[in-house]
Amino acid sequence: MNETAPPQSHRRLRRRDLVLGSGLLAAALVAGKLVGRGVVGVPFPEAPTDSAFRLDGLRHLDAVHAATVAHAARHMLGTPGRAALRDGHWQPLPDIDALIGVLAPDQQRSLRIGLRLFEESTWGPRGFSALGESGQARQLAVWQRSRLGLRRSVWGFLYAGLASSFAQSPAGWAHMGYEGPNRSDGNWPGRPPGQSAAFVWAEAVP
Amino acid sequence: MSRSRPLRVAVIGSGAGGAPAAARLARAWGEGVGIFEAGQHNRPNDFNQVERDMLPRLYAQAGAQATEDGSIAVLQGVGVGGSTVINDALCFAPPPELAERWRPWGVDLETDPLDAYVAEVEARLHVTEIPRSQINRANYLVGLGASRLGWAGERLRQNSPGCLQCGFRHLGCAYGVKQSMDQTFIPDALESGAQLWSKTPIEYLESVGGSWRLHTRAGAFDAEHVVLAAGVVQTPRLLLRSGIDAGGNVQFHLQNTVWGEFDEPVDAFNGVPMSYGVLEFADVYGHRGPGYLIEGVGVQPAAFSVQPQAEGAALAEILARYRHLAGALSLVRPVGRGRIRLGPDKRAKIEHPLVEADARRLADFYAHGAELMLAAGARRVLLTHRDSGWVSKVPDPGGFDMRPGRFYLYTAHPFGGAVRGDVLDGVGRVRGQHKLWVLDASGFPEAPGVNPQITIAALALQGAERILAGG
Repeated sequence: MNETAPPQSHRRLRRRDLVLGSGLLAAALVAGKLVGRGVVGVPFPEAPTDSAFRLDGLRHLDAVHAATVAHAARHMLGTPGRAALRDGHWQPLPDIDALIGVLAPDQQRSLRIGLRLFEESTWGPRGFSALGESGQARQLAVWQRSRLGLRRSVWGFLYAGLASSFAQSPAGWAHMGYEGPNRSDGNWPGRPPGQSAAFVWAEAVP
Repeated sequence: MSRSRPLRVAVIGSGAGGAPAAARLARAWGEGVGIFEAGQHNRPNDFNQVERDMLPRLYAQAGAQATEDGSIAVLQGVGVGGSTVINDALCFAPPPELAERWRPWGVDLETDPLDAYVAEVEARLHVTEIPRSQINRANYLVGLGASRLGWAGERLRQNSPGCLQCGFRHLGCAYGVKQSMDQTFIPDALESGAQLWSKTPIEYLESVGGSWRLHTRAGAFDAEHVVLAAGVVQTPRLLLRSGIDAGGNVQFHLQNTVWGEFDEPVDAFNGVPMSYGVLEFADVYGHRGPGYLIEGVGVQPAAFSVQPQAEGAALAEILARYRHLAGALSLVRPVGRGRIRLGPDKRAKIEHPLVEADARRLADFYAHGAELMLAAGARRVLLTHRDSGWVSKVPDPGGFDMRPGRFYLYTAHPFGGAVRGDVLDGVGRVRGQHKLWVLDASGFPEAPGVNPQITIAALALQGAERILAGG
């Protein structure tokens, strides 16, 4: 017997135990939520029906992930974003799918788990996708400023992915007043390179 | 795919380190020089200035590469020319302070100076001071603010003579004007007889009978010498995959941003993106500041959109003001050090902690950046921190929560992972190995504190000369 080892009943809780315990608890909560959802008849997550989301051809987002991202997209860019989604002038799901695709396999797995946790980390059987407007906005805000690194990372992925997707869309360019590339490629007329307007140096600068 | 005749030297990577090294070696060894590049060989005509197309083509992980905890975006170029294809073409001579800072690592830059190599690189890249006529409104405002505050500042130097000022340097120069490595030292190497294998990532190296075997998915190449110049991340990764201990002493120039809003359109995305630098807070070139540069900056829409750290109506409002924003970035010479490790699937895992001293200077920059923009006449200033948003007066730098993941933080200048004085000897040879060299930014024992392409290229030329001299 090792006389210097602590007694078994007072074994120090290690970080590995906490991570494992948290993971098991999260899995249990999700499983319980899914069972409860089936019991009380709450529908499974679906993409919003008031917007023209492209759901075909997604390789890395399953239907639940797509629903989560679609609902997050309705909030991330406010009114202009919702209008662009409704009109089909912004299609974020293929962009988010492609963004996941450039990551390494283990990073993709972590991200998909993170998105699923984001969807299911709600009180009651309804996931994020089934919450009302204020509930969804509140959850995004909580995860944005969370003390938990995982939550901040998931918010950061949604934010960066959706913001850059919008900024690369026709709706985004129009919203930002961006003139587009100056190089003409036949389909795009181009614009003269250089500064958009000459200006006078009112004050000297070294 | 494999080559039956061994190469004299295999240069792995074609960026700021690999290209000059290959050109110098090819001058002597001609077709005995093989250049291996994992990415594509792009031509100016391939650059369509559209972020959706160019980010996947030109950036590691389409611009999504980051530290393992996601708190620091790590921007690196892929393809022939490496990060020089997507950089801002800014050229700084190695700071004199480098000699003193690198001496403890066994690097002697005093008796073996870089001056001649710097001059050669600057001549080949046609480095010139950015003319006054190319200072766009955004950079002028940065200079104006600095001037009104009495801060030290100056026009910067670039390797883009005859620039058309299109504003798309970050997406490749579609006009072939920027003197990046794919336009200069790579053609020089090819003209001397070197051979280039693009889209040919090296999986690992194997020492075989005093030479090296480079294993790729499509076959193997043999070479007497190997020069590793695949960049911080891939150079250490390749060493680790080859059973050579590496990965430590990684340092990033830590960079955050502020955006001043002006009544008139600024259009920072137009014209030369970066042309003015503020050295008031630098600790290089004789300045004794806390250790960061401030540089004016303009970026294209998607690159801007990921910075504000806002959402909903707030984010929409910020994006709507895009044309009225002038940007400034910090370039913090770090204290903290990180590591490159091998993760699952043999990929590189990037770790870089944010230590207190570095976080404090990043917070300092929020305050001084706001002060600069307000002095230039900004109505308000956007700080890219989740708890901040717009400010209309100079904030207290002590009031920011600078723990990772709470503000926009990136690096376009990673260093280390296989540094001189640790994995390498003082001149760039991998310790304990035969004829294996590292001649890129991975070998830097300390971050230089300035945009590094000239320093990297000069050290690569010096290293190539040593290889030719039998070193």
